[in-house]
Amino acid sequence: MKFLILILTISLSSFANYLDKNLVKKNWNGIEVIWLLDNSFPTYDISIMFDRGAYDDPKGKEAVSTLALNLLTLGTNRYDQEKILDTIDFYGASTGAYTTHEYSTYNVSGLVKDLLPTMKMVCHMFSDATYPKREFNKAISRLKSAQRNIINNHGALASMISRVITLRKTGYDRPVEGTIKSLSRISPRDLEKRLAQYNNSTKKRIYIRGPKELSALESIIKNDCNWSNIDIESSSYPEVVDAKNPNAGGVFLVPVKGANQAQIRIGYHMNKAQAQSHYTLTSFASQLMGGGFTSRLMQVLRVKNGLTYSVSSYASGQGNYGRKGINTFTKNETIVEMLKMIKDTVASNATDLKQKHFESAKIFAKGNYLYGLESTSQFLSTMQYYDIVGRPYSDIYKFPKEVDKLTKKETQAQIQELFGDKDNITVIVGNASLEKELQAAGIKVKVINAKDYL
Amino acid sequence: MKNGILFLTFLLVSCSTSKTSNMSSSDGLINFDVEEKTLKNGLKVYVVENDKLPIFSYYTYYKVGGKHERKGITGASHFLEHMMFKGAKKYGVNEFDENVEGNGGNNNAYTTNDLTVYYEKMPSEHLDLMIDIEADRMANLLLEPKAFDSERQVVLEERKMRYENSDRGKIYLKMMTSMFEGTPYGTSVIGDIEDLETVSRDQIFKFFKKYYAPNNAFIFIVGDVDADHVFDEVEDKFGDLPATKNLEESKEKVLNEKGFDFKGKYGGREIKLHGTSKDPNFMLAFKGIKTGPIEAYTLDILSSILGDGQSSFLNKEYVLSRNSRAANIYAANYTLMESGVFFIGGQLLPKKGISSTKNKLYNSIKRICRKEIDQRSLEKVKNQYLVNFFDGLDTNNGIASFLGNRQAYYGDYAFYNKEMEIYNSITLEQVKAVCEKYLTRENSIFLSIWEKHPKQRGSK
Repeated sequence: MKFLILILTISLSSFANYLDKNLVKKNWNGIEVIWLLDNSFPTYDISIMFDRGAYDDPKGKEAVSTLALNLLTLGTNRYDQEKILDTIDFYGASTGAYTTHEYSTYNVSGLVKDLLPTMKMVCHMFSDATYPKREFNKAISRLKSAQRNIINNHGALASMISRVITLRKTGYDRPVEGTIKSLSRISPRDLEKRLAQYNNSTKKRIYIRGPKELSALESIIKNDCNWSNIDIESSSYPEVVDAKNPNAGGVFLVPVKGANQAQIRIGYHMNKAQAQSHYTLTSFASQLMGGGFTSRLMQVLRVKNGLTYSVSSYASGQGNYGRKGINTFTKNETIVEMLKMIKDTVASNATDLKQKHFESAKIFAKGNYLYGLESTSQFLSTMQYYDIVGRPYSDIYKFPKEVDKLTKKETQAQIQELFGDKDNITVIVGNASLEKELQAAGIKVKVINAKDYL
Repeated sequence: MKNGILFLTFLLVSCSTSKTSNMSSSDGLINFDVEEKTLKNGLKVYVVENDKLPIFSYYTYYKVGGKHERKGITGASHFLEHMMFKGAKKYGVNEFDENVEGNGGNNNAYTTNDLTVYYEKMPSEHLDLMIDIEADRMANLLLEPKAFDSERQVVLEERKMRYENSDRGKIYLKMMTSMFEGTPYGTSVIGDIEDLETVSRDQIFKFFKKYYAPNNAFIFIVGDVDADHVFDEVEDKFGDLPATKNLEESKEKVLNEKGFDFKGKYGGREIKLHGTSKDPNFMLAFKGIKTGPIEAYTLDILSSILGDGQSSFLNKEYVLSRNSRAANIYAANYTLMESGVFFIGGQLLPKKGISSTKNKLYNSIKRICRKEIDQRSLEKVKNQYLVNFFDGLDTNNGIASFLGNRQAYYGDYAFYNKEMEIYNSITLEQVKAVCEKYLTRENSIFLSIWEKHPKQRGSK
């Protein structure tokens, strides 16, 4: 085992040297640019990060922030939707936005030889998008259709409802993608206003992976996008400190027709302190419980008892809050057994974690960390995440050493805090008959309607 | 051809002076420095050295999949895939995962109609251990009874998750079994429920003994390893394993019992499935062809022109147009080793008719192929393929699967350069010709799934 630790340390040092040589930082009009020089392929990835997100969505108009970016291709004063899409596709490029409550990114990938026409079109959309009424209405119809039909994807439905319920009273519970009602209230004018904010009053940072030929991007950002960070203040959103969730500790059943399997989500929110302190310990405890085939939950629920095909646990932080939880499913007949087994597995590992499992999980966590650095585009995403949560890049190399320092005692305590928390909320999506079964087992369950969350 | 020329002249510059340059440029094309060895028992081993990080990826391809199963043991390949992680003679029950994850690695596997593939990532110092574990489970799988019964439940739950509780899974499964009805591809890879509930350990064991042999497998190892050392270790651990005698003849026999000629009912047959979707999902499937012939590549390009990307013809007409009727639409050409299927799928918007959509699709395809596909749409797809070509090649896993898949399907891991040459050589006339030939009502089945379709399975 000591040998592996040494190997990981050495490799991360050499990787640090690689980064010293290939990581370039630039300043374009006050915009910080983080560029990972990569000559391996004739392709590039560009990610423009805006430090504002869906938290800003007007009440009742959830989805404005994501739609302002994702519907840029609907049309501009100069080009119609068909021309825009044809241009982007012709160059083999892909574009798209990703929005969270706290930030938004616009991502572009393509061939280096076609950087100029692709990015000029992207900048043109940002400068001149009009969200034409006809195309806008059609896009909204499609989004509503997708929302209405999510009821058919029980796993996605369970995750969506669990997110809303577990984040109540934090300020971060409104869905980024909106609801059928909120989508109905949004107008093209709302998107134009939001886009203007992204362009003119939102701080940006640009992440690039690709060869040095991409330096032509600087002039496009300055002259075509007209972006600058000069005179734009950094902004921040409220920290989650102590939000008491009215649903804490509850069990919710979402009946769906014809389900012969119950989707289970158990979790709760974390406040900023919980989400950002003890990053290594939180990440490790989560992996130990539900991060691989030898994780404690996988061993008990799938390997030993055949109750499920999949189980995973997570604990992840954003800038001002975090979420923790366990995701799994089982057949209707074993729902009660499954819930009890999850509870017992968490309890036993929170009090009596076996040394063998503890040591083995450490090695697994360090190995997997290394694989996460293998791809340059994935590495760039890691750096982006570190910027979001305000951690220095140098911490990237510290993870293996920090894992080594963790004690069994603190790991057990963390397992309890994350997954044994009495406030954790259980959401079950499945057959309506589960209500009786759960009640009969003494589990007080509240039945909720999926439609209220669509 | 502008894009083809640019592809040939792009120089790949290595970012390191070490063996990280497992890829090199030759006339602008990618070349992987692959070293290979074939053991006397038929096992082939391929190695690409890459010392970027002290890790490696280990892929084992078994040339067995759903097509080798018969009624009664449908799902055997996939069930066996699960059982391969449940213990062998030297590395016993649960010791596979303990040894891989407990040494900083991870692993998984997948099964298709043609293949079963296992893959692991490990720190380099555990190369010998990984070879030993893989040899142990190829030679001496336990199929321990308790684990067998427990895993049966896991597979049944997986089936529910992927198919029975998913309208998209359900319609895809029905499309595949209907299109390939009466052929070895006409069963579900995950297995029929009744077979999964009744298949015995002995049946799976026989299946294992026959197909999990060195002459039915090949290995790709990519990473910070020494090829000569790999070959020595593989020889040491796998060299004495016996080959299955007359395997190729036996496999041919199984496949020839039914043959791969299409035997289903086509001619625009309509199948309606009861589901839970508020708006109907649909699939229009056509008889396709197997991997290899130039028409298969041409159908790939046709599928992209028709339904890949927002500016594709079908997306413009069905999703973006003034008279849009779908929330989404796509096209795909799925080539298997012995046959293929071309399909168009999507989800309708509320109050849009299913039958009228079916008829409109036939007309649209005819019109698009005869009048609308042009040189620009062909160039666009070739550009998209060029970008996709490099996807994932910055990881050991990506390289191993990229090369391994070509070895499996073309018998030549280096086929990738030829592949791009073929795509670049395809003309507009060829695309139009395959469209006329393959995308006809006579060759097709139309399926839909919706909450308002009656519960009994019906077709008309």
